[in-house]
Amino acid sequence: MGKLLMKGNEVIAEAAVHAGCKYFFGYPITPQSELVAYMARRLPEAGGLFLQAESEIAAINMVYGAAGTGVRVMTSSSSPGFSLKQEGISYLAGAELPALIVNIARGGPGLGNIQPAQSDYFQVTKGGGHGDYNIPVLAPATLQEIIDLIREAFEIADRYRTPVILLGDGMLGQMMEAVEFPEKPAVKETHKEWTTTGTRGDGAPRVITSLDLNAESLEQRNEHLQRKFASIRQNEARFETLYCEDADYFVVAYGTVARIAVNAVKKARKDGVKAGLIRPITLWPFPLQPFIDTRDRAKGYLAVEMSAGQMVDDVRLSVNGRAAVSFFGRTGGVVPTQEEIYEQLIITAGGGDVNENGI
Amino acid sequence: MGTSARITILTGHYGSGKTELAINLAINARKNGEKVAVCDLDIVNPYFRSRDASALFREHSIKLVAPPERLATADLPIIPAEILAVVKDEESRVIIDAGGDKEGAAVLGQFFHEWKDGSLEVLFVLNASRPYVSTLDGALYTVRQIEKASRLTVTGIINNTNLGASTTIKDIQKGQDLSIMLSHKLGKPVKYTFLESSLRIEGSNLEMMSNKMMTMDRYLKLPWE
Amino acid sequence: MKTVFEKTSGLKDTPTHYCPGCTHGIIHRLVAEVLEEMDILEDTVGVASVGCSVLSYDYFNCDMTQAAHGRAPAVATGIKRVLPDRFVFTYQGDGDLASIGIGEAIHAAARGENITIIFVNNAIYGMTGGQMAPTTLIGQKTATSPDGRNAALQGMPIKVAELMATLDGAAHIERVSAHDVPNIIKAKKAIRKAFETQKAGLGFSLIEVLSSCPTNWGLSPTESLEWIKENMLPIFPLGVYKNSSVGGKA
Ligand SMILES: Cc1ncc(C[n+]2csc(CCOP(=O)(O)OP(=O)(O)O)c2C)c(N)n1
Ligand code: SF4
Repeated sequence: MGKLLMKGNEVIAEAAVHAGCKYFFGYPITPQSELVAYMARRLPEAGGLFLQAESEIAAINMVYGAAGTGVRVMTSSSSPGFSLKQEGISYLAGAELPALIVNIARGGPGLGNIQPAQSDYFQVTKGGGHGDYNIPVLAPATLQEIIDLIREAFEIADRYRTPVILLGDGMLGQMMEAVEFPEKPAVKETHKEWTTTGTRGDGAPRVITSLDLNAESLEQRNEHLQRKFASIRQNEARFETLYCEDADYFVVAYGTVARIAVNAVKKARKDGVKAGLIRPITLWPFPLQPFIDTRDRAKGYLAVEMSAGQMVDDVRLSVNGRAAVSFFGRTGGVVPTQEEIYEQLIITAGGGDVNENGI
Repeated sequence: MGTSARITILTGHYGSGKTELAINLAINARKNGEKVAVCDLDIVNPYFRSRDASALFREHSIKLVAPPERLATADLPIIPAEILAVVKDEESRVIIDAGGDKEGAAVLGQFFHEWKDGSLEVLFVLNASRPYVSTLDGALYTVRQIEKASRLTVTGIINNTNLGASTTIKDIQKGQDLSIMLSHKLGKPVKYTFLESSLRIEGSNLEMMSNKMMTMDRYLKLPWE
Repeated sequence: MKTVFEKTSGLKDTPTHYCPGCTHGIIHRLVAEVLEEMDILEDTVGVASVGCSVLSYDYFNCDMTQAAHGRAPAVATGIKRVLPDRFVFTYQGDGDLASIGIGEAIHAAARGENITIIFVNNAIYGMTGGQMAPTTLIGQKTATSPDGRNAALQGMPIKVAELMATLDGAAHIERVSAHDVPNIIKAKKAIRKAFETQKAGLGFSLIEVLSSCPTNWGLSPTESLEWIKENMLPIFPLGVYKNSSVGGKA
């Protein structure tokens, strides 16, 4: 296929098609509308189906219906629309249905604006909807990485029977980069024995539900879910590190912010500060390993986010009090600059007056 | 720029690089001492529009016709009324940056009665590394869709084929070949081939490829660039 | 009434949980019999809604999916779009369909989704304890309209069959009632017609069935059936509101 210059939103859509996704139900919202438009054009070509739903609530429930038949299906939205999907996401988690849900986040709360933000971190990693559940969340930093992660997202979804979220910010959705779609074997349609597709001589009728009126049996169901989540925690955490072997100070950032932070880390190293970068690729499960590896010798961690401080909570939990954790964030669609991050890193390294949100 | 038209309308498929071209064309024209206005009519893209270069335009004394700053980052399809005055100003070079594809080009249709024959060029910006326009059929289809939506006829082609930082000589050559084929089909010239000035492309004499090779600077950068 | 009590393979053996005299059970049976008679149980995916019929997936002897409150038509859309050759139906109450899920219902109809909705109108929220529904009658006392529904305060009841019939995507819309044997026979014919409409690929079908809720109405089963006749029929006239041309035999 060769290289193409594509927008992040287009890459997400094309990567999903490559991963065998044939069904898309969505509703327009900036800054992810190109994804919906691309799917409307692309899926019929790929022998699939695109349907614009009347709302995000309807879209996620169409996904729920389609997922119950066992096909690869997805929806996408941006923050305000993603909030509306929470009900359906909780049902998907409860009924254990695989699906991909994309959130190209924008400034909030409320209607906010259409600029990039990472302020939906709590919502995607801590549940978001009602009930005891977690959902694997993947956060790509480059457009090429989107292609790998979308494929993995569908595989994780099928392997664990769980919805999976891909979280990006408006910048990731809107920016353009050269990408290449690797020639991978077509996705095999695996037989899923739990689907509701009409029994057709295939044994007793099946039911897809999240309802369980008996307390003990719902508890058992929850325990089953928790075992599943434990296994996802164990097997699916992903991260990337840069210069961490000898670093004293660690910047922690994900998605596009990690790309800005890389430059600040490099500059700090040039200026004699031994800085490193930890980039979580899965936000749930939050990767513990890089912190276990560094926290006993670290002189400090600096979490950088396009939010008022959300991921920093997970950093603190992972560092578990063994080193100072400070925070720098911009909100409302303001993107932190390399210079700002560098400055914060120097303050952190100086042990001086860290940002007021820090420890 | 060596163009006789006073008004240049940049159309193209989605993500063809119209905005960067608009900025470059405007700055070049200013360097020739012309009075220049850039009209940002991009209602399709939410980010990376001409209006995002407003400081640059101020610095070069280029007039920017765009929604008021207060609404610059809104996803409201605002068409600034000032565009009419600018289009009528015979003293001014006007560069119009429309949104991509037929959706973006449709905005131009409302000005159908404002354009004056002869003083107008409508350029189709082609990046052959983009999906859906990497083949002759795809590019031709896009041109026809844009012409229909904008109620205008494309008068020339700009080859802006690139893969961002990974551009190679082969990509530009591919774009050049496609532009020429498209040019034959449309009966309209390839006006320029653009090459980003920061790219160091080795192993070939680019001048050989086209005598209309122009370099351009990239102004709208990502925060890590 | 004999036919009503014959066993149908469209229902599992699980006893239903409905209150004595509640016509939900009869409506289940009618749907089940139609699925059995059309020999489509193995080709059907049903969607249970949230309301007293939430456990209908334990009763219908076909594949079933449980939907969130009001979302059954969207869930059914998702299933049907993937499996266009299967029969897909939802079974929804009046709170589920006419209140929280009116948007999903209207849009499914407008799109002409080739699905069948069994809409059970008992003029009240049964499951949550007798609160006012969009179909509650003027003057009807409920837990949340203790002085009776008052048009000035709570607006007028929504007439779902009439509303849906205005949509071009709707192929067959009919209102029937479960309050006596002749009407139950007619109701079954209507349900058959709806599934035949789906079979012929004609588009959206909805059968509104007037149903009783002795428990929340505070009436005996017999009084409840009488109440449907006396109070609901004048407001919710029975009949075909949109007629698909398929011939259904029941
Ligand atoms: C989002 C949400 N809100 C509220 C409820 C609580 N709830 C359950 S059933 C119901 C009303 C059901 O009434 P109806 O659809 O008329 O069915 P019936 O019980 O009368 O058969 C409500 C409000 C819920 N399950 N989900
Ligand atoms: S509460 Fe009403 S609707 Fe629910 S089962 Fe009992 S009688 Fe039927």
